[in-house]
Amino acid sequence: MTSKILRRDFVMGLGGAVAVGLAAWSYFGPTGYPKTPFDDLLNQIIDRAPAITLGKAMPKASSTTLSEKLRQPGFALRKRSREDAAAGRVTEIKGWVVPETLALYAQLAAAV
Amino acid sequence: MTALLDARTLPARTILTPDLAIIGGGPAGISLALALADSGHEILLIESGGTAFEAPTQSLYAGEQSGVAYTALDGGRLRFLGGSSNHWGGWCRPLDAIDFTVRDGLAHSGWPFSQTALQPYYARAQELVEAGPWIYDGADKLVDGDVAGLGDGGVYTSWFQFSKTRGSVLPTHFGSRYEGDLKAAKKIKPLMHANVTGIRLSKDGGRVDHLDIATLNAAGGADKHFTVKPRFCVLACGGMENARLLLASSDVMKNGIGNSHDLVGRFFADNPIPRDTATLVMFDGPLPGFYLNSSPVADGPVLRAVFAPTAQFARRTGVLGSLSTVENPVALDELGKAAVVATAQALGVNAANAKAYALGCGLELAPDPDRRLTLTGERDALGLPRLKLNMTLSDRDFDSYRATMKEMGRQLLAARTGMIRLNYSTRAQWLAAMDWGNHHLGTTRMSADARTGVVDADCKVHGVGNLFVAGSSVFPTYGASNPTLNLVAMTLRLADHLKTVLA
Repeated sequence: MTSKILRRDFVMGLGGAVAVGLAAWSYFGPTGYPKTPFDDLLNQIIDRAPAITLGKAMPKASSTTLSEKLRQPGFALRKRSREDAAAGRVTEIKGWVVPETLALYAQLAAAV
Repeated sequence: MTALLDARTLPARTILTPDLAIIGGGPAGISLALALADSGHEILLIESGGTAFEAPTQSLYAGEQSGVAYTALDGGRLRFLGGSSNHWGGWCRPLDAIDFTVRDGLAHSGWPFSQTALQPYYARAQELVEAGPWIYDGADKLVDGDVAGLGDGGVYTSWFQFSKTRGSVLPTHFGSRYEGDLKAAKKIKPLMHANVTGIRLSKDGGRVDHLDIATLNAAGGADKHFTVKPRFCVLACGGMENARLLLASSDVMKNGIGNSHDLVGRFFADNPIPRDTATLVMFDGPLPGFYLNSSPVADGPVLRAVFAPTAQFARRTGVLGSLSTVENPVALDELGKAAVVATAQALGVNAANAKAYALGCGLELAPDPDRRLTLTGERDALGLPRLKLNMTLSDRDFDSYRATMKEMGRQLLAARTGMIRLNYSTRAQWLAAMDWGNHHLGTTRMSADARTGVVDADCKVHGVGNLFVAGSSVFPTYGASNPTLNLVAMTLRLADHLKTVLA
């Protein structure tokens, strides 16, 4: 008797946990952050927390405007950030000299 | 062996008649005397102090100041045999070729000759400052470890060498180091405790006729007065005192000697050394020790790596000279950590071992005629008017260095080896971090044209046939290198010239 109740409780508990997990997955997605219309861009950031910290140190900007710019061809985060410095495209965030493209992505991460 | 002669023991109204009088027993005066020791000419080396610090003599340096806060006028120099080498740090580096050139956009820049004119004298100068074999920018190949990976761009790793310093060994103090050589030289008479209070010209102003000399008594007041009547005279008492003596000697030339065009005392400069100017992060871990400390190379010189703008970058962008030192490791704040992680990830590099450092620097200032020394109405114990310094720093001086550091940051990112934070963006921040090299430069600037210089290319005062100036006061543009090695080289060049004119 006792074992039957336990089995039922276990099955129900497991089902509940799976349901919560699916709901969370559906809301946050694989990154642990709420889904946004800009995830095609934000998902290029490996660790979003430092990018948000960096972005918050910049002036606020419209996520729509930023995303429009970053969705142009050639604005992939890794590739363009690597090219930025060689092309002289660096900017300052509270004194930190960073690639311009990274700054735009960080600004977007902080804006959503 | 000649003893050091104490002027206080000479009878009042004594008249000395050397072939050459050298006013000032610092690195320039001593180097000049030794270079001419075997020339056959009688040389009188006139030193205000003795062989050690004496407060009454030092107080002759006191003066007034205005403008940007600066070292007290009696605080940044020393008035006894060896001069300010008695407290120097031993940093040696030759001026760069660009330091001698007329630079676009830099008013009043350029020497009347190129770096090549000084080259023959650097080897001997290097011996006198005891900085070991001439290595400098060839040091990359000698040191144990790789220089920072800056990649291509406007900033590179350059090198200082050090005068002697190893462990507790101090840099060369010219007074104690060369006192024996001065005594041993038969034709050199070192005259201690002798203060020049006036350079007296012939009535037509064309030649130095004599020097007024005074000694201090035990109470710190004027004691004996006597006269030196040299055939030739060299002022070698530092960038402040050279100007003071020229300005104060106004009995024949009413604006002072060599000051027909109001240049004596103007264009004063120093190498500012602001602290913690930038934060350097190297993604791959610690920098080699030769960036952080003066590092002996086995059986060779003592070296330290610094970051400097290339001549090409300086010409293209107009930045002034700067030499950035790695000072100490620092911890990053939350924004700093975020910047490093985000940047390293964006570049696709591992920054798990990243190391951060504070940078300091020595800067070149743009020539400024309003940064100047003038005489005040107050007089010292010997009756000589005291100096007033009006110190200036322009925003360009700061902006220039920021541009250099930003370029270095760009290079590090391009090379994916590190990154930089520029720590100051306002004038107030810069001034709060300011310290000084106490390198006194430019007040008797050199130019082939009497309208733009106090001395000519031979360091002779324009219009005065037998008066010369030695030391960094003749530097018309300054560079960022510490001046001692360079002023000694300049002095040795002057010595060669004097050998011909004395003959």
